[in-house]
Amino acid sequence: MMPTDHSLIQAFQSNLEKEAVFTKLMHRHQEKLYYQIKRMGLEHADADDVAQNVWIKVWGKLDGFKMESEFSTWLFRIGHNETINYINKQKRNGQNHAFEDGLRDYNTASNTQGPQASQIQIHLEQGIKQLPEKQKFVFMLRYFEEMDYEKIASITSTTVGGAKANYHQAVKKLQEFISNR
Amino acid sequence: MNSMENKRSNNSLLEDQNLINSLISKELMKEWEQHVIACPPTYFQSFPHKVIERIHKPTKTSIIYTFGKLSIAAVFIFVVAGLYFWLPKTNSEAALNSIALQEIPINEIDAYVNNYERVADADLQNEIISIGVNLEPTNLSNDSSN
Repeated sequence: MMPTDHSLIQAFQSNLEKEAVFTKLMHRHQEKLYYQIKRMGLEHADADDVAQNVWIKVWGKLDGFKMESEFSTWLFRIGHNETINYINKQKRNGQNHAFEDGLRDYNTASNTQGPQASQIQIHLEQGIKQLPEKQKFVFMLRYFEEMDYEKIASITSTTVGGAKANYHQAVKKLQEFISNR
Repeated sequence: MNSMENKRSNNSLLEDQNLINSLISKELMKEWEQHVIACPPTYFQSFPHKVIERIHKPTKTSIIYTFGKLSIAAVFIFVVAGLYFWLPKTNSEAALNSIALQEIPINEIDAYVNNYERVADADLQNEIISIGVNLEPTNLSNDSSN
Protein backbone atom coordinates (compact mmCIF):
# COMPACT_ATOMS: atom_id res chain seq x y z
CA MET A 1 0.00 0.00 0.00
CA MET A 2 1.25 3.47 -0.88
CA PRO A 3 2.02 5.64 2.10
CA THR A 4 -0.18 8.72 2.37
CA ASP A 5 1.25 12.21 2.14
CA HIS A 6 0.68 12.70 5.84
CA SER A 7 2.54 9.52 6.80
CA LEU A 8 5.47 10.61 4.60
CA ILE A 9 5.45 14.01 6.29
CA GLN A 10 5.38 12.38 9.72
CA ALA A 11 8.46 10.38 8.73
CA PHE A 12 10.12 13.59 7.51
CA GLN A 13 9.28 15.35 10.76
CA SER A 14 10.75 12.46 12.77
CA ASN A 15 14.00 12.82 10.82
CA LEU A 16 13.61 9.39 9.24
CA GLU A 17 15.36 9.39 5.88
CA LYS A 18 14.38 12.97 5.19
CA GLU A 19 15.75 13.11 1.67
CA ALA A 20 14.17 9.86 0.55
CA VAL A 21 10.79 10.87 1.94
CA PHE A 22 11.03 14.33 0.41
CA THR A 23 11.98 12.88 -2.95
CA LYS A 24 8.88 10.67 -2.80
CA LEU A 25 6.72 13.71 -2.13
CA MET A 26 8.33 15.50 -5.05
CA HIS A 27 7.79 12.58 -7.42
CA ARG A 28 4.16 12.50 -6.37
CA HIS A 29 3.37 16.20 -6.79
CA GLN A 30 5.99 17.80 -9.03
CA GLU A 31 4.11 17.45 -12.31
CA LYS A 32 0.87 19.07 -11.20
CA LEU A 33 2.75 21.93 -9.59
CA TYR A 34 4.94 22.49 -12.65
CA TYR A 35 1.95 22.37 -15.01
CA GLN A 36 0.08 24.93 -12.97
CA ILE A 37 3.09 27.28 -12.97
CA LYS A 38 3.52 26.75 -16.71
CA ARG A 39 -0.16 27.46 -17.40
CA MET A 40 0.41 30.90 -15.92
CA GLY A 41 2.44 31.66 -19.02
CA LEU A 42 6.03 31.13 -17.90
CA GLU A 43 8.76 29.76 -20.14
CA HIS A 44 10.24 26.41 -19.14
CA ALA A 45 13.38 27.91 -17.57
CA ASP A 46 11.32 30.33 -15.49
CA ALA A 47 8.79 27.70 -14.48
CA ASP A 48 11.66 25.41 -13.48
CA ASP A 49 13.14 28.17 -11.35
CA VAL A 50 9.84 28.87 -9.62
CA ALA A 51 9.16 25.16 -9.06
CA GLN A 52 12.61 24.67 -7.50
CA ASN A 53 12.07 27.66 -5.22
CA VAL A 54 8.72 26.26 -4.14
CA TRP A 55 10.20 22.88 -3.21
CA ILE A 56 13.10 24.48 -1.36
CA LYS A 57 10.57 26.49 0.66
CA VAL A 58 8.62 23.30 1.32
CA TRP A 59 11.80 21.61 2.60
CA GLY A 60 12.38 24.51 4.98
CA LYS A 61 8.82 24.63 6.28
CA LEU A 62 7.79 20.99 6.26
CA ASP A 63 8.87 20.42 9.88
CA GLY A 64 6.26 22.98 10.91
CA PHE A 65 3.46 21.57 8.73
CA LYS A 66 0.55 20.81 11.07
CA MET A 67 -1.43 18.45 8.83
CA GLU A 68 -4.47 20.70 9.13
CA SER A 69 -4.90 20.71 5.36
CA GLU A 70 -3.96 18.41 2.53
CA PHE A 71 -0.30 18.59 1.59
CA SER A 72 -1.21 19.38 -2.03
CA THR A 73 -3.28 22.39 -0.93
CA TRP A 74 -0.37 23.70 1.10
CA LEU A 75 2.07 23.03 -1.75
CA PHE A 76 -0.12 24.84 -4.26
CA ARG A 77 -0.52 27.78 -1.86
CA ILE A 78 3.25 28.18 -1.76
CA GLY A 79 3.28 27.67 -5.54
CA HIS A 80 0.63 30.35 -5.99
CA ASN A 81 2.57 32.90 -3.93
CA GLU A 82 5.89 32.13 -5.60
CA THR A 83 4.41 32.30 -9.11
CA ILE A 84 2.56 35.57 -8.54
CA ASN A 85 5.65 37.11 -6.92
CA TYR A 86 7.82 35.94 -9.81
CA ILE A 87 5.47 37.35 -12.45
CA ASN A 88 5.15 40.67 -10.59
CA LYS A 89 8.93 40.88 -10.29
CA GLN A 90 9.28 40.25 -14.02
CA LYS A 91 6.73 42.94 -14.75
CA ARG A 92 8.59 45.39 -12.50
CA ASN A 93 11.82 44.62 -14.35
CA GLY A 94 10.08 45.15 -17.65
CA GLN A 95 10.50 41.54 -18.71
CA ASN A 96 7.77 39.70 -20.49
CA HIS A 97 6.73 36.19 -19.85
CA ALA A 98 6.01 33.65 -22.53
CA PHE A 99 2.46 34.72 -23.35
CA GLU A 100 3.72 38.22 -24.07
CA ASP A 101 5.96 37.06 -26.84
CA GLY A 102 2.95 36.59 -28.88
CA LEU A 103 1.98 33.37 -29.74
CA ARG A 104 3.12 29.89 -29.77
CA ASP A 105 3.34 28.19 -33.08
CA TYR A 106 0.08 26.35 -33.38
CA ASN A 107 0.60 25.39 -36.96
CA THR A 108 2.78 22.50 -35.90
CA ALA A 109 2.15 18.83 -36.25
CA SER A 110 0.64 18.73 -32.78
CA ASN A 111 -2.36 20.66 -33.96
CA THR A 112 -4.63 18.15 -35.57
CA GLN A 113 -7.67 20.31 -36.12
CA GLY A 114 -6.67 22.65 -38.90
CA PRO A 115 -5.84 26.35 -39.22
CA GLN A 116 -9.17 27.53 -37.85
CA ALA A 117 -8.54 25.66 -34.61
CA SER A 118 -5.10 27.26 -34.41
CA GLN A 119 -6.70 30.66 -34.77
CA ILE A 120 -9.08 29.95 -31.90
CA GLN A 121 -6.19 28.79 -29.75
CA ILE A 122 -4.28 31.96 -30.53
CA HIS A 123 -7.31 33.97 -29.42
CA LEU A 124 -7.63 31.83 -26.33
CA GLU A 125 -4.00 32.47 -25.44
CA GLN A 126 -4.41 36.20 -26.04
CA GLY A 127 -7.55 36.17 -23.93
CA ILE A 128 -5.84 34.31 -21.10
CA LYS A 129 -2.89 36.68 -21.31
CA GLN A 130 -5.05 39.70 -20.52
CA LEU A 131 -6.60 38.13 -17.39
CA PRO A 132 -5.42 39.39 -14.00
CA GLU A 133 -3.02 36.87 -12.44
CA LYS A 134 -5.37 35.75 -9.69
CA GLN A 135 -8.26 35.14 -12.07
CA LYS A 136 -5.90 33.25 -14.36
CA PHE A 137 -4.67 31.07 -11.48
CA VAL A 138 -8.21 30.30 -10.30
CA PHE A 139 -9.37 29.58 -13.85
CA MET A 140 -6.55 27.09 -14.45
CA LEU A 141 -7.12 25.30 -11.13
CA ARG A 142 -10.84 24.98 -11.76
CA TYR A 143 -10.85 24.13 -15.45
CA PHE A 144 -7.73 21.99 -15.81
CA GLU A 145 -7.06 20.66 -12.31
CA GLU A 146 -10.81 20.31 -11.65
CA MET A 147 -10.42 21.43 -8.06
CA ASP A 148 -13.37 22.32 -5.87
CA TYR A 149 -13.82 25.91 -4.80
CA GLU A 150 -12.99 25.20 -1.12
CA LYS A 151 -9.54 24.04 -2.11
CA ILE A 152 -9.05 26.86 -4.61
CA ALA A 153 -10.09 29.38 -1.95
CA SER A 154 -7.57 27.92 0.47
CA ILE A 155 -4.78 27.99 -2.12
CA THR A 156 -5.39 31.55 -3.24
CA SER A 157 -6.15 32.85 0.28
CA THR A 158 -9.64 33.97 -0.55
CA THR A 159 -13.21 32.93 0.29
CA VAL A 160 -15.21 30.33 -1.61
CA GLY A 161 -17.38 33.16 -2.93
CA GLY A 162 -14.26 35.06 -3.97
CA ALA A 163 -12.89 32.03 -5.83
CA LYS A 164 -16.22 31.52 -7.64
CA ALA A 165 -16.32 35.19 -8.57
CA ASN A 166 -12.76 35.00 -9.89
CA TYR A 167 -13.60 32.00 -12.09
CA HIS A 168 -16.76 33.56 -13.47
CA GLN A 169 -15.04 36.89 -14.12
CA ALA A 170 -12.29 35.06 -16.00
CA VAL A 171 -14.83 33.13 -18.08
CA LYS A 172 -16.77 36.31 -18.86
CA LYS A 173 -13.63 38.11 -20.01
CA LEU A 174 -12.57 35.16 -22.16
CA GLN A 175 -16.04 34.90 -23.70
CA GLU A 176 -16.02 38.62 -24.51
CA PHE A 177 -12.50 38.48 -25.89
CA ILE A 178 -13.04 35.45 -28.10
CA SER A 179 -16.47 36.47 -29.40
CA ASN A 180 -15.14 39.93 -30.35
CA ARG A 181 -12.44 38.46 -32.60
CA MET B 1 -24.87 11.51 1.53
CA ASN B 2 -21.27 11.75 0.39
CA SER B 3 -22.02 10.43 -3.06
CA MET B 4 -24.83 13.01 -3.38
CA GLU B 5 -22.40 15.77 -2.53
CA ASN B 6 -19.82 14.44 -4.97
CA LYS B 7 -22.43 14.26 -7.71
CA ARG B 8 -23.50 17.86 -7.03
CA SER B 9 -19.90 19.02 -7.00
CA ASN B 10 -19.16 17.18 -10.28
CA ASN B 11 -22.23 18.72 -11.87
CA SER B 12 -21.12 22.16 -10.82
CA LEU B 13 -17.64 21.50 -12.22
CA LEU B 14 -19.13 20.40 -15.54
CA GLU B 15 -21.32 23.49 -15.62
CA ASP B 16 -18.28 25.66 -15.02
CA GLN B 17 -16.29 23.92 -17.75
CA ASN B 18 -19.20 24.14 -20.17
CA LEU B 19 -19.21 27.92 -19.86
CA ILE B 20 -15.95 27.88 -21.80
CA ASN B 21 -16.63 24.78 -23.87
CA SER B 22 -19.60 26.48 -25.46
CA LEU B 23 -17.03 28.73 -27.16
CA ILE B 24 -14.01 26.45 -27.43
CA SER B 25 -14.35 22.71 -27.60
CA LYS B 26 -12.93 20.54 -24.84
CA GLU B 27 -10.51 19.01 -27.34
CA LEU B 28 -9.12 22.39 -28.37
CA MET B 29 -8.74 23.41 -24.75
CA LYS B 30 -6.89 20.16 -24.06
CA GLU B 31 -4.66 20.68 -27.06
CA TRP B 32 -3.87 24.23 -26.01
CA GLU B 33 -2.98 22.98 -22.53
CA GLN B 34 -0.70 20.28 -23.93
CA HIS B 35 1.07 22.97 -25.88
CA VAL B 36 1.51 25.22 -22.86
CA ILE B 37 2.70 22.59 -20.38
CA ALA B 38 5.21 20.95 -22.71
CA CYS B 39 8.66 20.42 -21.15
CA PRO B 40 11.90 18.53 -21.98
CA PRO B 41 11.37 14.76 -21.97
CA THR B 42 13.47 13.75 -18.94
CA TYR B 43 12.72 16.85 -16.94
CA PHE B 44 10.72 15.18 -14.17
CA GLN B 45 13.27 12.43 -13.62
CA SER B 46 16.06 14.87 -12.93
CA PHE B 47 14.05 17.51 -11.10
CA PRO B 48 14.08 16.01 -7.53
CA HIS B 49 17.83 15.51 -7.77
CA LYS B 50 18.32 19.17 -8.75
CA VAL B 51 16.24 20.33 -5.81
CA ILE B 52 18.08 18.12 -3.29
CA GLU B 53 21.38 19.39 -4.68
CA ARG B 54 20.27 22.99 -4.23
CA ILE B 55 19.08 22.28 -0.68
CA HIS B 56 22.54 21.03 0.30
CA LYS B 57 24.50 23.63 -1.62
CA PRO B 58 25.48 26.60 0.54
CA THR B 59 24.06 29.61 -1.21
CA LYS B 60 26.59 32.16 -2.39
CA THR B 61 23.98 34.86 -2.30
CA SER B 62 23.49 34.45 1.44
CA ILE B 63 27.22 35.01 2.03
CA ILE B 64 27.11 38.11 -0.15
CA TYR B 65 24.00 39.23 1.67
CA THR B 66 25.62 38.76 5.10
CA PHE B 67 28.78 40.49 3.92
CA GLY B 68 26.68 43.36 2.59
CA LYS B 69 24.88 43.74 5.91
CA LEU B 70 28.19 43.71 7.82
CA SER B 71 29.73 46.33 5.57
CA ILE B 72 26.68 48.60 5.96
CA ALA B 73 26.97 48.26 9.76
CA ALA B 74 30.71 49.00 9.62
CA VAL B 75 30.17 52.13 7.49
CA PHE B 76 27.47 53.32 9.89
CA ILE B 77 29.72 52.88 12.94
CA PHE B 78 32.58 54.59 11.11
CA VAL B 79 30.42 57.59 10.24
CA VAL B 80 29.04 57.94 13.79
CA ALA B 81 32.51 57.61 15.34
CA GLY B 82 33.90 60.08 12.81
CA LEU B 83 31.23 62.61 13.66
CA TYR B 84 31.92 62.18 17.37
CA PHE B 85 35.68 62.62 17.17
CA TRP B 86 36.09 65.11 14.36
CA LEU B 87 33.25 67.53 14.78
CA PRO B 88 34.55 70.73 16.55
CA LYS B 89 33.54 70.51 20.20
CA THR B 90 33.83 74.27 20.66
CA ASN B 91 30.58 74.64 18.86
CA SER B 92 28.68 72.85 21.59
CA GLU B 93 30.55 74.71 24.37
CA ALA B 94 29.81 78.03 22.72
CA ALA B 95 26.20 77.02 22.45
CA LEU B 96 26.10 76.26 26.19
CA ASN B 97 27.65 79.62 27.10
CA SER B 98 25.37 81.56 24.90
CA ILE B 99 22.18 80.46 26.67
CA ALA B 100 20.45 83.59 27.95
CA LEU B 101 19.06 83.68 31.51
CA GLN B 102 15.54 84.29 30.24
CA GLU B 103 15.78 81.05 28.25
CA ILE B 104 16.14 78.97 31.44
CA PRO B 105 12.73 77.80 32.67
CA ILE B 106 11.53 79.27 36.01
CA ASN B 107 11.05 75.88 37.67
CA GLU B 108 14.64 74.96 36.86
CA ILE B 109 15.85 78.17 38.55
CA ASP B 110 13.55 77.50 41.57
CA ALA B 111 14.85 73.98 41.91
CA TYR B 112 18.43 75.23 41.77
CA VAL B 113 17.83 77.94 44.43
CA ASN B 114 15.92 75.58 46.77
CA ASN B 115 18.66 73.07 46.49
CA TYR B 116 21.28 75.69 47.29
CA GLU B 117 19.26 76.94 50.28
CA ARG B 118 19.01 73.44 51.70
CA VAL B 119 22.78 73.02 51.46
CA ALA B 120 23.30 76.43 53.09
CA ASP B 121 20.91 75.51 55.96
CA ALA B 122 22.75 72.29 56.57
CA ASP B 123 26.08 74.13 56.62
CA LEU B 124 24.72 76.65 59.15
CA GLN B 125 23.40 73.87 61.36
CA ASN B 126 26.81 72.20 61.38
CA GLU B 127 28.46 75.48 62.24
CA ILE B 128 26.10 76.02 65.22
CA ILE B 129 26.73 72.50 66.53
CA SER B 130 30.51 72.89 66.24
CA ILE B 131 30.50 76.21 68.14
CA GLY B 132 28.15 74.79 70.80
CA VAL B 133 25.75 77.71 70.98
CA ASN B 134 22.34 76.75 72.37
CA LEU B 135 19.57 78.50 70.55
CA GLU B 136 16.67 76.56 72.15
CA PRO B 137 13.47 78.64 72.56
CA THR B 138 13.45 78.26 76.41
CA ASN B 139 16.76 80.06 76.76
CA LEU B 140 15.63 82.72 74.39
CA SER B 141 12.50 83.41 76.46
CA ASN B 142 14.55 83.65 79.68
CA ASP B 143 16.87 86.10 78.06
CA SER B 144 14.08 88.29 76.96
CA SER B 145 12.38 88.32 80.40
CA ASN B 146 15.63 89.53 81.92
